[in-house]
Amino acid sequence: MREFRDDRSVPLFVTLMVIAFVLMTIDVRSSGEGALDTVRSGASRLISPAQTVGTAIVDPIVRLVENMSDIGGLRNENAALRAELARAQADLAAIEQDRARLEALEEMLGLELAAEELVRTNANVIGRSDSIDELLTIDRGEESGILPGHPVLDQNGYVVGRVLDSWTGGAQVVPLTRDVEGITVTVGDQFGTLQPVIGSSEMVLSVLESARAVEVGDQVVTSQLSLAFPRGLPVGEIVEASRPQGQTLTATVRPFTDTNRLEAVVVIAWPPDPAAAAADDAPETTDTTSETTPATTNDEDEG
Amino acid sequence: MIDVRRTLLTVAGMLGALLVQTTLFGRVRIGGIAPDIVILAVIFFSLRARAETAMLAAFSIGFVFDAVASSGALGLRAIAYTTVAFVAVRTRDRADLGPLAVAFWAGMMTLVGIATVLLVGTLFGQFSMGFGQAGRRLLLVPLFNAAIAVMLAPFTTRLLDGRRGAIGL
Repeated sequence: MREFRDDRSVPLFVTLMVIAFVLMTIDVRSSGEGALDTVRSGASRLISPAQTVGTAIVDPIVRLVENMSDIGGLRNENAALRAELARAQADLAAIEQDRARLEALEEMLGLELAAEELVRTNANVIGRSDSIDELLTIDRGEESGILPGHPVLDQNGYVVGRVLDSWTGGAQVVPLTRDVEGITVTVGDQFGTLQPVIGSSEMVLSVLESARAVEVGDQVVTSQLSLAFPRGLPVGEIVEASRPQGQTLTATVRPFTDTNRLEAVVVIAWPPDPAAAAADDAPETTDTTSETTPATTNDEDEG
Repeated sequence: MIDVRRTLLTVAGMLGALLVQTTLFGRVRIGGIAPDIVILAVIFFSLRARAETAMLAAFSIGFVFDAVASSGALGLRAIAYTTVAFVAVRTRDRADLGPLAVAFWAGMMTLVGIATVLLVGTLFGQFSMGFGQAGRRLLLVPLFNAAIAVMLAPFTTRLLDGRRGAIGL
């Protein structure tokens, strides 16, 4: 220890600590705006090409290892999937009938489904943070119309989270399970808020004026009261039955999507541009999702 | 006098570790937990570098990590990694005893880093982890890093042998 007695490491350590604490305080107080946010965006822009290359190298290797380790269970999974496919085809037939009826009724009433008009942009996940911070980096950004606040879904249409920051060539996505802002949801006919338990894969549902209990398996979807997400998007399911205590109900929800295994996401331009929507009496769908590649860009103007 | 080649190698190594963390260990996780390669890079760098150099490098890579791959406040990992470098430089003689000692030491240094991130992050309202979740990270990340340190033992031995000559940049 004698070698450190006269060195400059302690004053330097204290100085660096002070600088870091000041930076943290400024960053927390500026709430993601100002010079530090510019630094963050600039650094993300610089490193995202390297992350794209890294992901391109790593992904095939990881996929190969995953496939080799999964090969033993593939036969059973295949049988289960066939059974599930049969059930899904039966459900699909029923849904198609309901959808045809719905379209006929909407035509009679002059209604249109807002969700059908949303611009969707597919993107690949090219980076993730560490085990503590679950932030995702995707390879599409401002050039594709992706802006902070836009909802992000997985390829099954389940809610992943929202865009935290975007730049030309990339964006950062904060998953629901890490987003302190939470989300307004509906369970049956009850409205509530879904908050993350940071570091956990599950979330906590709070219903303030609850009239009835929730059961295991009840679906949690985005609410029409939500300003950040279109209504009706599937979020997760109740994993533990719960009854109201007084007028308040608290329940545990498991999100449908597993952010650890996400390789591609869909970003929705939400809320839609009100000016463009008003200017266009009969807006057309500009869904640019491609079946051949997970990364396509919307190249049409919404208006 | 600054050795330009070694400085460039250090920068490349640190950025490489960051890239591996955000790409490879973004996909490869055990029970949702991944090793922290960036902390490991800081620890290994601290084996050989001068105290001031190790802390400045740790601070810089922590700041870059915060900027590039974290939704937490800028400076959180800079604090954690600088603390790791500070403690690592002062305890690196413990790693002289062989591969297992290096692994144990690397695990302990990782524990210091993760604990600092969780503590400072919680104080600044960046995390609200339950004891179980925090405990899993405090246990598993150091274990994973210790395992990787064992695998990298030949490399660390060479680092240590080099340290017996001239220390630092």
